[in-house]
Amino acid sequence: MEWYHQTVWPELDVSLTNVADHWAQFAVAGPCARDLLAKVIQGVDLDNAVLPFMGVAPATIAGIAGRLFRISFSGELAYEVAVPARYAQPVWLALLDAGKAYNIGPYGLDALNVLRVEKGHVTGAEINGQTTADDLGLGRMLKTNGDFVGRVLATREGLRDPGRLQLVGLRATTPDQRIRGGAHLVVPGTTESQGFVTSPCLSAALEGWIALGLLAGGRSRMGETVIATNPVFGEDTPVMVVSPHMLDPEGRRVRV
Amino acid sequence: MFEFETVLLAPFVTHARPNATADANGTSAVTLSEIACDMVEVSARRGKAAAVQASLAQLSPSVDLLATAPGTWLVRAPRAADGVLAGRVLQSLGSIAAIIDQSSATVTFRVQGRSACVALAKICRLDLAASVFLPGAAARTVLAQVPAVVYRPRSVDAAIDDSGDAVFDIAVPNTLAVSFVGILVHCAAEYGLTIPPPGQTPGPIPGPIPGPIPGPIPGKS
Repeated sequence: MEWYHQTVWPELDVSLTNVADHWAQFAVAGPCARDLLAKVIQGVDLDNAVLPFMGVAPATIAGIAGRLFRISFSGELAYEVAVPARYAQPVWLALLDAGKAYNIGPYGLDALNVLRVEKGHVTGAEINGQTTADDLGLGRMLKTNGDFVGRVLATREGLRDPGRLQLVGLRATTPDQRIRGGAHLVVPGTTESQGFVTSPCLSAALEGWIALGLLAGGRSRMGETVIATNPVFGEDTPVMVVSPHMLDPEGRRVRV
Repeated sequence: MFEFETVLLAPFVTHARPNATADANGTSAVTLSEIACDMVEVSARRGKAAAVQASLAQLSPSVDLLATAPGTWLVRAPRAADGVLAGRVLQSLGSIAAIIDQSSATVTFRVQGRSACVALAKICRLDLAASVFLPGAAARTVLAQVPAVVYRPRSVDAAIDDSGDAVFDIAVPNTLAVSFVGILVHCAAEYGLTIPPPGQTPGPIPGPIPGPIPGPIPGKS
């Protein structure tokens, strides 16, 4: 950002400061998230009409002035609360205490990864420096008129080729057969790699192993069965190509 | 004038319990503590640096002003209720500067004593000699790969006396403070290191040294 400020837009009267260490931020996710937060938050109306999905508001959380975000990486009804870092521990404990009535539990990155793979939310494994927004199914997020960083490249022929590696969901046709990260995707009976598995997991909400992957022309291959092959482990796992949005594809849960 | 209280936060609890080691002469030449302060970053809007500097001067001496870059200062005061310092600065400056509360972003360590300078020389590429790094001087630098603000308090008389105690305050990102305090302990151990229990004022802080509000140090940022 500072580089852009100094070289591309030096005329802007803007100053940049890293505030990452000033804030501690917690995700509160799940169907009871709103009820729980109502117990510890003052100064903001949590009603869905007042603070909808993607809303943000200043709030007092467990007595501490902070910010409330209605955002969700897990795909559940979720909020994130941010407070100055020195109050992180008391706010964390207050959230856990208020959540006892709802059988609250801290969740780690592994659980978060399962939740996001089920939802088809991409991270670094998919946003790997070689994929475009369109490859990841995010083409509609690009501005349709006016300029933006990356606009010129996004229209280049080679980056619009329908045969490019595109984000897909993968489900093991034998649910308990493991899908490995990095396994190559091949058409049965062939050896040519047509893509690879980026993020596998044993699903909690669906049956068996699922994954996100990048597959040549993947969006036009829904329903096709390919092989996730891993010669290192000597494994060939048949997987069905499906939409990457394997759970709640309409996003109803985050908007309730 | 004001004083900072020492505090006992996570870095000290786990990595540097209050204790003392002695050098060959049986004395401790470095004292290490963590001080409780609030910190607000002020960046002047374009063309407003002089106006910001003048307004900040009105807040001094009830705050410390650390000039960290052209048109940019860290305003520091003893820890108070959340947002109080930022509110004071905002009231003073209005819209001529960006005002960012960084009170939770940094942990400030105070390193003082007759060997403070040589202990820090192990990890600091700046010349911290009393004749060069004057009272009120501040600089952003990297210490042991940790981004840091080094500051020699204006309010400590002994800071300019070669035979007396040097005092340096070092602010580092709070997420790196645990690692950093371990590095400070290692740097200072051979000279004899004292870590006083919390709640004590870390050192004598006489009245302020009169002088102009500091601007950026050329070549030191």
